[in-house]
Amino acid sequence: MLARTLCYALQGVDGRAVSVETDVSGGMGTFSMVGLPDAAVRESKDRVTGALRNSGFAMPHGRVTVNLSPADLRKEGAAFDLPIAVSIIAASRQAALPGLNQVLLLGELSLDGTLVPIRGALSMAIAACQQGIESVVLPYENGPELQSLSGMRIYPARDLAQVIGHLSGKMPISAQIQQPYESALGQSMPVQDLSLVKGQHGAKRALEIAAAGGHNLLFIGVPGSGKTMLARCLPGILPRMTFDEACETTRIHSVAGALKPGQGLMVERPFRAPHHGVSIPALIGGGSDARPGEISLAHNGVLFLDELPQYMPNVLEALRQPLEDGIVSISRAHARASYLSRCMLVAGMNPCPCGYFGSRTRQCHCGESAIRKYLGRISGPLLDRIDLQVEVDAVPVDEIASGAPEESSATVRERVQKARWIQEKRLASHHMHCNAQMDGRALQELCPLSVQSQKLLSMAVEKMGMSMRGYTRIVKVARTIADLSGEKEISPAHIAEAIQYRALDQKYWGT
Amino acid sequence: MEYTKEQLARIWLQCAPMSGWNKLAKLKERFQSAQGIWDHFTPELFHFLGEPLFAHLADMRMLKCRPYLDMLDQIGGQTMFCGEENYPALLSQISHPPDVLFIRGQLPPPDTPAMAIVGSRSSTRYGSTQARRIARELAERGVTIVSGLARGIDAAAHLGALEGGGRTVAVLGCGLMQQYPPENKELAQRIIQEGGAIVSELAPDAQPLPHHFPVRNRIISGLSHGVLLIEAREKSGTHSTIQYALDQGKEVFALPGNVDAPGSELPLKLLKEGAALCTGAEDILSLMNWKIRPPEQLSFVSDECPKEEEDPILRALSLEEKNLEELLQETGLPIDALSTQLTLLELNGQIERRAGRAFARVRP
Repeated sequence: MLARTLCYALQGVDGRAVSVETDVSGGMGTFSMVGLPDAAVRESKDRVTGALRNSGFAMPHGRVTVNLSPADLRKEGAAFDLPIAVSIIAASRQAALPGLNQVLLLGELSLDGTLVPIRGALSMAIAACQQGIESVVLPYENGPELQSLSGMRIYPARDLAQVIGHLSGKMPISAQIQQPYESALGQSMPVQDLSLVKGQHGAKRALEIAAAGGHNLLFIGVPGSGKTMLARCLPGILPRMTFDEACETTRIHSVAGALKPGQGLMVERPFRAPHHGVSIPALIGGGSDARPGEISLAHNGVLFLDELPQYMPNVLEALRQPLEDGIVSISRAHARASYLSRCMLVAGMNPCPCGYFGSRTRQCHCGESAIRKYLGRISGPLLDRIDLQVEVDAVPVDEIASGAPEESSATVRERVQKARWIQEKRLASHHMHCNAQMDGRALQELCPLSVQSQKLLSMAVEKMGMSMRGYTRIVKVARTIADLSGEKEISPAHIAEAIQYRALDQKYWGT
Repeated sequence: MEYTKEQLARIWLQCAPMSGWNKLAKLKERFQSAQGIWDHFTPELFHFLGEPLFAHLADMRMLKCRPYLDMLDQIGGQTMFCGEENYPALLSQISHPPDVLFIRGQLPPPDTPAMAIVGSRSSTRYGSTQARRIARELAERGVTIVSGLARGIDAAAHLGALEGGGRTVAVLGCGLMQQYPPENKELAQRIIQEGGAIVSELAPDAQPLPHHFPVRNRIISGLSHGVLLIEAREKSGTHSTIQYALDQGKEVFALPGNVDAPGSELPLKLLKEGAALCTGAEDILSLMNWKIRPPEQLSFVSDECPKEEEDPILRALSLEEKNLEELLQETGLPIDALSTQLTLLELNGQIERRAGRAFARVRP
């Protein structure tokens, strides 16, 4: 007899429908699986056999043929265990399971029949939902991941016996109570609050501007000046993720297997800080199955690269295209996938090889050429994509000890949110979201400069040795500063402040 | 340019590798002139000169030095022969002046004062800043700055001279065709464009070999009336320049540095031995008895500049440099207003920005 169940395979972050067909007939006892299964799927035969036996069922005698259709799509991972097991039970009439092909079944089985969480559950459920499937049975630990999904009934199950009880209608599982996204938002807490950073008002202001305009940011400072701590605060002052953004980010993390078991939808923006030994496939994405890289895991959040000059030059160059386009396409022999990668880049570096150039407390021992060589490790095109370059100095001990109250992340976030709304409105006609995305044309149309502002800018180029490439960066940042203060026009004061954030353009730095 | 037979022979000998110069000097004594060697260049000399040198000279003799002359044409280089009119008079007075000098650009007129500024290649920020300042001050008053186009102090000195609108001469330890060190390529271009010169006694295609530099140093001191040492370790190549300067009877100046800094070893040692202490162009001008041409006064002061008493930032900076956080605390200004004001003051030329987001007043 034939039974058919429904499952989904992953292709990048998208789910593709796969129907699992099982035929049991008389004859010699054989088991064959067809339809391009990978090693993990082929091994499911043994897991399913054990799980069936230990859940009170049996592998039928005779010919068992499992077909995963469409046959030309490569299937990988262990999510097919549950649909295969259920279809075998149905095909061998060990239980009557009505309406089997209306339910999405996902889950890996262990030998005792327990369901083990899988990766990519959210992507598969969303794809199924779009095709009109209304209920899904999946491992208990994957339940929270789908907690804010509407239009679907979700049945988290602990083991195979429970699933069969539910499907046969004998012992139905109660559907998971869905939680609206807004209430999930309320429970979240930023990982690091800005109020914990003492002093550093200059750097905090830069952080606020960066968050408001979506600008990439470079912190230059002596070791121990708090660059990492400041960067960690950024997700907490960026605007809250919308439901769509949260879904996008969670799907990527789910596919990469980076979600903790039992973790729900990601409501906090991700913060990724790969070590400087990172390889191109790890950062951009790759591997034989085209997995997402760090830059995609940081989608809608922050990618933090500490010690920027220590990264391999080719790795940094590979960052340029994804940063610009907000999407990476990875092609491998057997897999092809596109992942979103709209993240803010925050980088940290020392001012010189020894780290103490410009420090008050310690002497720098680097020669001029050593500093120039060190700075030269970061290419011009990459620096071009970093709008704000800010120097950070270590905070004196008495300021750390002082109990002066500092602004909390929530207060800053409100201001940032307001500035973002202004930008959304202005840039809507150009299909952009924040000031950092403005290209030359948009800049010309939307950011006209008064005669005075122009004069100030050309004076800066002339007297402070500012480069021409710095020119447009300054205008963009000045636009964000004006948005933060709610002003319509860019005034010379905004330009003057923006000039302060071009540290690497300064004359004293190499010549 | 047409060369006489004697001149061609002198170029021929000058372009031989430096390791053979001693032997060629002996030959020249024997044959009386360069042309004498050219005319009597027979296989008998093979054993005396050794195979590589003999082969090189024989090749070039056959080609009539054409490769070198072509190279010179290509870069617009010229030749100066010792004893002829256009040869720098100062240089001809030293004990072993280069017989032929290759030059790109223009040497300053013979009676202008010239000062060599030399020092370490791995200079500190202090050294570079001071070299640049003193070179600028001297150049503003019409003094030619001579140095070696190396990294560090040399480059800073050339740069300062250009900033001061003066002439500067770079003496290379390689041929004129070579770009060494590569990062000073643009600087070399500027030196020539702005009326200075680049000179070398080596064949136009000579590599920058280590033994070229000490020998080259005699030309640096030879082209100058005095030598200013900025920064150097005791055992450094710069030491040879000082030694030549003393042998040639030039005045030696030294700029003091911190007593515990490695770069202060040689300057402080020289100061103890009686070198003249230099803290600025005035020290040099007065000791050398040079007539001072007062520099043109430049002034940025306008009515818009706030006075010190009125501006809280200028008041806070009146004694020492401060960084941004300190200024925030002392002035009580909000961060955006402070940043704006700092840019305006900097553009007005009233303050300057230093490393570590620190700011300092600029003294008029």
